Amino acid sequence: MLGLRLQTALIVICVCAFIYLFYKMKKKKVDVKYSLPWLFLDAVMLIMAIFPRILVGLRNLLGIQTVSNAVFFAALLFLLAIVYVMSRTISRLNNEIRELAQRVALDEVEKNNTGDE
Amino acid sequence: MKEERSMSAERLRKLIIIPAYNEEENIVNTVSEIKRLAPDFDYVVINDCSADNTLKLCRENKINVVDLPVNLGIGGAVQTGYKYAYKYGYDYAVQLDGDGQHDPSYLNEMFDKIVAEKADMVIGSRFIEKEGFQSYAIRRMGIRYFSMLIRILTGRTITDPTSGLRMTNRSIIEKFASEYPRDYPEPESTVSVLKEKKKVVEIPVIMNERKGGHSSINIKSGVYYMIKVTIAIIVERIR
Repeated sequence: MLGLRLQTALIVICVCAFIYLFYKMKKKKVDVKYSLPWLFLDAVMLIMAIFPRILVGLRNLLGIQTVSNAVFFAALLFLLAIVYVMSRTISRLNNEIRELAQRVALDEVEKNNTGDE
Repeated sequence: MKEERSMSAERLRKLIIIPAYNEEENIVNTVSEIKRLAPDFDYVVINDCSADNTLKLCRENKINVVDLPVNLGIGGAVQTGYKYAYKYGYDYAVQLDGDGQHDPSYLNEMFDKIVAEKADMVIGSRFIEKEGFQSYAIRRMGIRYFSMLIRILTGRTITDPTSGLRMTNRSIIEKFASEYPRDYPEPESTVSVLKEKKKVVEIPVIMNERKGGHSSINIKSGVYYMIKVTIAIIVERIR
């Protein structure tokens, strides 16, 4: 089973993370849209910490040695997914910034040209 | 007959795109060379948010400049030039680096070639007659590798796929205005042109070693460059 100390630590961390995420959303520092994967990860971790039986099932299913490794394995998969979505978002933002910068620069030229005439 | 053709050729509008990032040492000279050697071309300098006096020198010397508000890298800067060419209805656009590597006296020759051959793109190649500054051994190896990769993937031979001296017709201007790679754009965009069965021809040119400023590729980023462009070319081919 999951050690009592690790279980307690996980629950405390997850609860703190929840409070922090909601606080930041309230302050509008992070969009709800981009907080959702983190909230989901947080919720899954919390459920696993409270009901470690799920982890035993996961451990047996994947043939992992210890339950705590099953926690880290599950968390790592979620993190990779979140980071990948971030990469995609960055690519899209990059393209949008490029389009905007080019349009601003070209509009400025047009403005100057019509100003001269 | 010949008279008529040259008349109609003169009415075609041609734009020189000069990407400039921290080119205060070369930019004024490059533009005055263009005015002297290629007088029937229009030009536009794309200042890619230079940290030096490039913009100030352009304004003082009444150089036609598009000033990007953020640094977009060489691909984003050159694409701005293609957007300019598209917006103002140019028939041909040619990219000419602002660092003195490219000799503007080739522009007329390139234009004659693109019109005579009805080509979509003309590339100025250092490696047809193998004259002038041939770049460094290590870079030549890289260029030969890209050339081979393009031949394997498209069946076409481009001797100088990294050449920045490229002239395009209206159809490619339109294509590049809507999509152009962000960094190290030349080999990748050449493949995207070849893939569409466009006509690409090369003419021999002599290039100089850059007169000042710094190349955008150093040794450290060389490995990254090779890997990035290789993957980009393959992705472009299978798109």
